[in-house]
Amino acid sequence: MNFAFTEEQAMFRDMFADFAAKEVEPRAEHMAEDEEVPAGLLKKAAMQGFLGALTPEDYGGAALDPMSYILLLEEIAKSDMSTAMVLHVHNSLASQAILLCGSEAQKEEWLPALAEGGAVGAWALNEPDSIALGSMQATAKVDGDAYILHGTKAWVSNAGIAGLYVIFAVAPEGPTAFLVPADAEGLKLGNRDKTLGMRGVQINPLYLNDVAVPAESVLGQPGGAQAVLDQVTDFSRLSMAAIALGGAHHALDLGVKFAIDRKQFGSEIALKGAIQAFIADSALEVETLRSQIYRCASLAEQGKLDREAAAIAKLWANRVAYQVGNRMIQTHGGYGYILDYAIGRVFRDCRTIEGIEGTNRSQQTAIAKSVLATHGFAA
Amino acid sequence: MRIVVCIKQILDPETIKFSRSQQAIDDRLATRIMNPPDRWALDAALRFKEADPSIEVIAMSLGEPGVEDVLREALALGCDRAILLSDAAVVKARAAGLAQIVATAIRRLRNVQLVMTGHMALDTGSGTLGARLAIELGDWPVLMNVDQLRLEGGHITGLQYADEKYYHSSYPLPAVATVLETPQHPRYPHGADIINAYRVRNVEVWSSLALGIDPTTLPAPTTGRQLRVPPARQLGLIVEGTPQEAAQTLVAMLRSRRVI
Amino acid sequence: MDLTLPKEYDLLRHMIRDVMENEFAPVAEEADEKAEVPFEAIKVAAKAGLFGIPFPQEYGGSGAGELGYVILMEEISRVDSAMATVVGAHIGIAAMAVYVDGSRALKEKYLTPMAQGAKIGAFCLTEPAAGSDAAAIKTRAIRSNGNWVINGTKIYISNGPFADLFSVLAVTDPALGARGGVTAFVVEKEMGTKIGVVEKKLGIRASATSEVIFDEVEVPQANVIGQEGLGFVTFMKTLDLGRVTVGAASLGGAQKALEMIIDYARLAEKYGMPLAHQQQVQFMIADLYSWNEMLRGLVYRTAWMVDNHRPFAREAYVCKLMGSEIASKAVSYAMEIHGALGLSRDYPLERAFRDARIAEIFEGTNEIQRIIIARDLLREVGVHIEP
Ligand SMILES: Cc1cc2nc3c(=O)[nH]c(=O)nc-3n(C[C@H](O)[C@H](O)[C@H](O)COP(=O)(O)OP(=O)(O)OC[C@H]3O[C@@H](n4cnc5c(N)ncnc54)[C@H](O)[C@@H]3O)c2cc1C
Ligand SMILES: Cc1cc2nc3c(=O)[nH]c(=O)nc-3n(C[C@H](O)[C@H](O)[C@H](O)COP(=O)(O)OP(=O)(O)OC[C@H]3O[C@@H](n4cnc5c(N)ncnc54)[C@H](O)[C@@H]3O)c2cc1C
Repeated sequence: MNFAFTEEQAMFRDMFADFAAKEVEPRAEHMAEDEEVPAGLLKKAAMQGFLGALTPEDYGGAALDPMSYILLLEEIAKSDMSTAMVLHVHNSLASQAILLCGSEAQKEEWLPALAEGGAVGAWALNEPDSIALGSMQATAKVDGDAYILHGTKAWVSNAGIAGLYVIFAVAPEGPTAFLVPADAEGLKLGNRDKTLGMRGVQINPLYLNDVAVPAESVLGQPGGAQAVLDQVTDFSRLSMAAIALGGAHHALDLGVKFAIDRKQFGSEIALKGAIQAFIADSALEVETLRSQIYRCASLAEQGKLDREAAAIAKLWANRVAYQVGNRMIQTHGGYGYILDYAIGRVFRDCRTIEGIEGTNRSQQTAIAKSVLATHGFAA
Repeated sequence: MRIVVCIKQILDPETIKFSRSQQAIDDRLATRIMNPPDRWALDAALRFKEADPSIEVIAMSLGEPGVEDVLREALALGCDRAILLSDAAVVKARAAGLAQIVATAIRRLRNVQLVMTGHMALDTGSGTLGARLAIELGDWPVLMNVDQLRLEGGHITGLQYADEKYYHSSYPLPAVATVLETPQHPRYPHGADIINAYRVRNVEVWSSLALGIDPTTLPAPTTGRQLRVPPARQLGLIVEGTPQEAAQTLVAMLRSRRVI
Repeated sequence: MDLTLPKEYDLLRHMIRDVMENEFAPVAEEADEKAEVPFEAIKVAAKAGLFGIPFPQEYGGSGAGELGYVILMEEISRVDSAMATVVGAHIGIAAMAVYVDGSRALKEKYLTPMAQGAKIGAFCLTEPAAGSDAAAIKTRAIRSNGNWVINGTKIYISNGPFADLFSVLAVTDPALGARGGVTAFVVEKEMGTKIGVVEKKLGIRASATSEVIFDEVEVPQANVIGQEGLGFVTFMKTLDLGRVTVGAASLGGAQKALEMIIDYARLAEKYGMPLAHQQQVQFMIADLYSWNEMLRGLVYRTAWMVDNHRPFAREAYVCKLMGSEIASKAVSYAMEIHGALGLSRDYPLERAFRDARIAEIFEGTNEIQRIIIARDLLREVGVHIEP
């Protein structure tokens, strides 16, 4: 067993941290206020290769190993969770799905564009009344050698800035994933979804008003949406967990700095037992979360990341992010409630994690199912 | 002059449940409130009083002793007096009997020029007391379902709603008016007036004996024999096919069931 | 032991709920988003006497005591927690300080217009170096020609930007400090108070919070609340009363969250069945209901103790501590159940979540509440602890 980063991973991490400090941190507050990602930031990210993070070099990507990619998300999230989430949806969902399930033609058409930042990727799976393929309402009717997409997609992150949507709809063959360029006729963005946190991520509903797409835009097989999800879901949960880790780490950092600066009753509040308990419990949670996430990244490197490990990472991430954010805002006293201090934004973002890619309950269900299965019980 | 406002206490429709298994109303958790339209009637009466302080507004209710609460609410809202018509012999009176008792009490008060009610009680949906009172009081004119009431030159004027239209109506006093709810929210009682309505002020209780009513001569109250909750609605039938096909199928179905 | 509420309190609750649902509910979301105080609705509330509920009628109040005040805060918070802060700062601490220790003349002059809502109050205690450690205040009042001249800066003052009257704590004898050297004053805006930074906040955004600056502000001797030198005691007594109603406000918020959970669990279907059929959801509902009922018992008992002149300070700490934590938990559960919908700013939970957080922080952080409860209990066995 070896818990050390390779030299390359360690170098990458420093580079990511440097980028986060120089480019992301100074913009974070404005992104939350203006509720958008500045185009300039994405351009800089593209120049660093962050928009083709997992994409092989043949397609213009940076070909990061899974561990390095997880470090990228963690380091960016330490400065701003919204920015990390934009990268996550683009890389872990859109680009990954094409890389793992796409035809050679699709890879050539989309991967270089995505990697260069020519097109940002978005993932349109959920619907107002559906979070599972089984209950999906959007349809893809066959018309000659094209499909006509019709329906409504909800909570589409990056919707406002995307060049490419991965859209899920029910075709005659069953639920199917499609690659749809943003300028396709009949695609329409709904009103911006305003959220508690992650305000920098542009999220909208997406209306499919009879969008005609050629048969070649099917990702994987017609009726193969489940196979696409099986390929990306676990790693994408892990990468959301990494964002939570960065956020929780950031919150702890802010809280500790405040506790050292702030004096009440004649001494630094960092010396008070209650505050030390906050710090200790938070460090405990952040470090155990980090261990689980790095373990999962290492499993991913070996191609062995499984549903249970990823769900444990995400469920623990949901809880840790919220709890640490909560303790650290409390550590700030009244200052935590005033938006001049970054902790307010981080607290909001930390809580929002829970609603993305599987609520606590769905993770619990997945974990329990898997644990019960090891005892020969099918839940 | 005096204005009498008739107020009914009802079960808050939002807190009533129906029990299908018992085929009965389940009011165990229901709360009792002032019939909402009566609040608008009261509000209009109190506006008259604001314009002319010599007007005395009297709230009146017939019912069980617990009905006192809506009268206290009326006091809190600004009524001068509140009268509860209550004794074992009359609390069950409805419709015609109710009108007789209330009219007797109104005559007892003297110098009542205007009687106001809500346009209907939301529990029974009946809405007849105003008209019945007008007859009992000696064929007073009655403005049914009115809004924007004004008192001027010995007349009561308002916009009367009937047959989906509004009509201007004006009648000389004494008269009866049944008042509609309007979008404008009626006044809120002041906190201090609420406290005083219970701690300082008084609800007068008049019995049938005091009114000189012989309960045995009152018309018998209507009684319910059985209450039934309508059956749950079944899912309808959806006729499939192109419009032409569907229309044909539908016509055939209606014919076969002898609807057409 | 008769635990039924006198009937006037049912009617009082009914009226307050009516005002909140008709006047505040329709504007609450926009007021939060734009961080604007809903003054029009506040005027209606003032007219219905909401700002004088606990105070005697001789001072323009309703005479409903602490019990009435608890009901008020519970009902306000069901609809709009930001408003609970506006009212809490105004009645619960600013006006309450005058009520608790002010002379009859001072009450007539200042409590009456505050109870009527004609003037709005703010409570000025916190300073940059004095948050939890309130005794560390630096704002100074110096005697001059029979008047007092106040200098200093107060921060995070609720209602600061629009208050007409300020209950202010200042040092009058630095040698004695909090033990006899601090005095409470009522200061009129016209005496020269200035408003500094108006803060942008995480939640309760429809309440306004600002710096209040005293720069050579001259205040008559008559405006001293209670005895010179004993202002710290006045302010602490006032905060004790305020804490009961932080508990009450929390109860209102927690109750609303429970109602939202039950409603959503009944309607929302996941995997072909209403959420209500999931045991995890059922347990949340059961736990929350249990906590709410405990809190209700505590809050109403404490209000009864206040109105019946029993010592209540320790219970008040528990009201604030448990209330704020139960309310946060309730909203947090509601959010978890609602999934992405709970995170949307088009749905009221998101606002409730940001708003609920303040109750664990202000009117003494929950750590301070815990320290004081423990200090109290330990003192009984002869152990003296320092915060
Ligand atoms: C929205 C808002 C409205 C407000 N309204 C008012 C108002 O109207 N009037 C007014 O006077 N003030 C008001 N305040 C100020 C509020 O009461 C203070 O913020 C609060 O008392 C905490 O003080 P602080 O912010 O200085 O935090 P600190 O006292 O600096 O606390 C920081 C952290 O240290 C902890 N801590 C401090 N001392 C100890 C200790 N001895 N042991 C263990 N832990 C400790 C605290 O619990 C907290 O977690 C308001 C604040 C806010 C945010
Ligand atoms: C900021 C943000 C960005 C998002 N971005 C995207 C995006 O880019 N693309 C996209 O497609 N979606 C996106 N989403 C949607 C998100 O992935 C889903 O909302 C999430 O999966 C949860 O679904 P839900 O909101 O319907 O919550 P629900 O699942 O409805 O949560 C409500 C309750 O349902 C129950 N429940 C849910 N699942 C299960 C289960 N499996 N077993 C048992 N009970 C269950 C739980 O009790 C849960 O508490 C985003 C959401 C947010 C908040």
